[in-house]
Amino acid sequence: MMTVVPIDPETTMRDKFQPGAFVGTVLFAGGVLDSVVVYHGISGCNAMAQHLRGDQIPNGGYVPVIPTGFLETETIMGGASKLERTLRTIATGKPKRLVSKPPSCVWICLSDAPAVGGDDIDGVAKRMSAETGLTILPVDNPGYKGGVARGTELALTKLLDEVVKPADGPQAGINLVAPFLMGSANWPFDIDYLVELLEAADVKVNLVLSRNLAFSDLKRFSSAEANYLLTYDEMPDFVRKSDAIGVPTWDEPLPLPYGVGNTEEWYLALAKRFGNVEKAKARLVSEMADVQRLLARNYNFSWMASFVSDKYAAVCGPAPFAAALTRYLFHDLNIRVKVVGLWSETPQGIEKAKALLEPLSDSLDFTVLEDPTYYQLGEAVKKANVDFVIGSMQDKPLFKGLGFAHLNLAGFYYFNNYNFVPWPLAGVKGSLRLFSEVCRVVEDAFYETEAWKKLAFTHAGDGLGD
Amino acid sequence: MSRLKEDGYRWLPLKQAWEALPAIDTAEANEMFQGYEGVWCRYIWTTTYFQQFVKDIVVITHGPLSCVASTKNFKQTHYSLNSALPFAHSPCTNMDENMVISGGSDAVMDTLRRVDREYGPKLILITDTCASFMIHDDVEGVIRDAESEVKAKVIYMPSPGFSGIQGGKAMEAMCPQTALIMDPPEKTDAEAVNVLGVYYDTVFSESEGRKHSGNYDAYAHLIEGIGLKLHRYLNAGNYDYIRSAPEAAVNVIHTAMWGYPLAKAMEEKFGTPWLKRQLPMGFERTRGWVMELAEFMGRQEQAERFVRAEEEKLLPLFEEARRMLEGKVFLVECSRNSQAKIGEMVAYAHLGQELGMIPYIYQVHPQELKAQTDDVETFVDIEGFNPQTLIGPYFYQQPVSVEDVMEDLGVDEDQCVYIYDDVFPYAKSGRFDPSNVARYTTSAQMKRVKGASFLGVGYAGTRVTYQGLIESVKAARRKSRPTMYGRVWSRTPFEFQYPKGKKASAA
Repeated sequence: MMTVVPIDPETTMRDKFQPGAFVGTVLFAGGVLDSVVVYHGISGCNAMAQHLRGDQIPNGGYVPVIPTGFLETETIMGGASKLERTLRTIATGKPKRLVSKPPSCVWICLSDAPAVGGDDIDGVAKRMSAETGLTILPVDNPGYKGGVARGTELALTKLLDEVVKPADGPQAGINLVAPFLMGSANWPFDIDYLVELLEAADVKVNLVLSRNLAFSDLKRFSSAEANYLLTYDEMPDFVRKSDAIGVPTWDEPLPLPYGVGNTEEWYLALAKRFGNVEKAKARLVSEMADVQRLLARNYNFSWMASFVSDKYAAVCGPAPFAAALTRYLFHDLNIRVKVVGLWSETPQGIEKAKALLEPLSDSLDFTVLEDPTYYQLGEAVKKANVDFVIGSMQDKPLFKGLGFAHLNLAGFYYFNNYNFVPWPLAGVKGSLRLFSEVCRVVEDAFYETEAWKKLAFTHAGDGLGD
Repeated sequence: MSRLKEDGYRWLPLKQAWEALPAIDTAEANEMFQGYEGVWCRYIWTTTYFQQFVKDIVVITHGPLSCVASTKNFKQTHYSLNSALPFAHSPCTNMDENMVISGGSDAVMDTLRRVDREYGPKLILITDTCASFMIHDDVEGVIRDAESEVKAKVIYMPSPGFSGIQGGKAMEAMCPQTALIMDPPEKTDAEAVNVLGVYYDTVFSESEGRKHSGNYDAYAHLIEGIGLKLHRYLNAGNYDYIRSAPEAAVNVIHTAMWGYPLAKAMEEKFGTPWLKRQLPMGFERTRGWVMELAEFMGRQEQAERFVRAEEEKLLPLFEEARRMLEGKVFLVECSRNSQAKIGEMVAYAHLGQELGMIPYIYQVHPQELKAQTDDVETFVDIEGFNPQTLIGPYFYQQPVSVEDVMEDLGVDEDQCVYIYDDVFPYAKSGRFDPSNVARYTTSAQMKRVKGASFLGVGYAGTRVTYQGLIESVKAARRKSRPTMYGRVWSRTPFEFQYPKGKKASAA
């Protein structure tokens, strides 16, 4: 049975890790490699934007995030002049070069202080675009406008408003939208692999929005047959505007392809709709053969696959990833997931994840917490007394502090997720890495390390023989 | 003319550099330092300083969830992972656009009631953020209205992010608020000493299971070594621990930037006297710190015996370090990223000078330097240490090149020792790498040594720093086999790519 602890509609109170809208735009812009982000706001928000921009770096590229230097004075006096000066410096390289060459596009992001203060970023963008010739896309994305999904949507709608032309030719393939919102801390390597996987099934990937693009690539947005959102959060403005230019959004509720079972379902559904199912099946069989070659008759695999079976776990994270991981642990590894914490920016995100978990309710008893506070989640996990928790780096101290083993697979690549091997967690191929990661938590959850400390051999000392 | 000088940089003694700079947040400073952004913000400082370092306090954020994320994203998580600090529950009113327009007082009230009921903390602090502060939500009014029904003590901590961009400025405003949590003392203990100015640390020792010591053990050793008691170590501990701090006879200082503002507030509110020396590392600084306390408490003879005994134990290592380091240029890089931290790095510079090195401080942004008045006062005016410091445009807080610094100083790899703070230290295999330039990690984020303070304070901290510097010089003798880190950053990652016949040092 699936027991749901719903969001209390009477309160706005939350405690979860949800960076603001400007971070969504920065993550998006970070995949458009010949662009630059000008960040207009307070340094605390700037630090977060700078940090999370780093998600696009492994096997991607470095997009500068240049702050305008918005200080307390600008909160009072307005900061438009600093924004202008920064844009002019980027364009001219004077008084000193800030970027190696003028970028194809400058995104303006802002934080709460200049937004509440009313800095006119649209007006500055227009003026400076006329003066410098730069393509400047101001995005009104302070933290109070929403989370990362909303910031991504704001960037996308800005593109549709100002860059993309309506479809006027043949359309084929899909635009994969918001890979960084899948909720996997390994998302950069996951999305690179998923593109390869889709193309093997003749699913044309028109654009990954965004990952390793040039700004000019964005103009072919409307060559796609459809968009496919990799987040469960709704993006109504984007969907409406994209519809209007002839690119609908395919909204099939699918589990993300983490684990073999989820991958089979996800891959064949996409291949059926946009590509060649037989080729997809052949790819699955081929990858599974590789996996079997590694794992069949492998003592270590047999040991661990048997060891983790029937153990108890909790999962928390962004709704798409948490739902997929829950299904993976139960279906693929026969692990009993007792607590699932689903975080989402919109109610639709939670509902989609629940719809994918509901079929488990006949065969598994578990509790789903909708958008829980960390406190609620900690209490639920204590009550369930699981063997380990899969979450993100930000909640590791919570669960370890409560005495639970913890594995950080969810969230963003930043911070302190030490994934340096460009291998996916997603797909059949990724199930090797995913299972290896799960094995890592076994040391913490089951090895009797505390007993070793207490029972360690000690020299008998001078008392020997007394 | 060197590249640095061409770019408008110059060396001045610390105090003269500070005096030469325009006041922060002025038109003159804005013109002179284009793109100065600062580091963190008042909100982030406040939430970490109160929320996480004190385990039974809950801080309510009145603002967007993004502000909570900006703290959890790095600081809170890192402090838990590497500095023995607890997970920080961070309930938030989740301010959205409607709340910005209509006001969020009702959400503050709702969140306050829920936190009091569900979390049951002894003390609740309510912080605001840029947005909630700018729309003038009446948080104090909410607290007054809730007083009769809320069990916890509730205090409002104004903390809009924009009001503390420069580190020193934020601490001046924020740290005195710790005194709001304290109770007037019923009695004072004549032997009790508080250590103020702690950030990034807690009251939890290796003997209790901490993997790497903080600074608590170091201060306990210094204070107990002269027959006194370490009473409170702040900010850390829990609510009851903090509130009874005024029972101490005197406050001493870990770091001036964090410690002076609270010391002044406690003196004003409770009459607690305080002493000014900070960061006891190296012979001279530690002796000065201990003797200042001893003189105040009338323990000079005991302190003299204690200090002499500790110095004798360290003397062979000190002499060995001095033999290896004397005459070298000490490249003290404050932080390539934030350019904000100076206190600990200048203290390391002082330690280096004692070993015969010539310290040069750089990569501190002039606006951060200007804001850290207390540090300048204690280093220069009280301790008489006034090292050369690099000021200049630091355009958009871009770092200066270490190699440009070396060119300007006219020194080569064998004449330098490099210390740094924070992530992204400089390295390029074949030119500047631990394999050819002595490099020692002094970053508070990353320096962890078993059995000693990670900030290098106290005698154990001094010992590991001497040891670390010696080992760094030895490591740089190899002149080949550069580190992977240096190779990753270099255009000549392999030694076969170096000019023929040359080793790493000469490529």
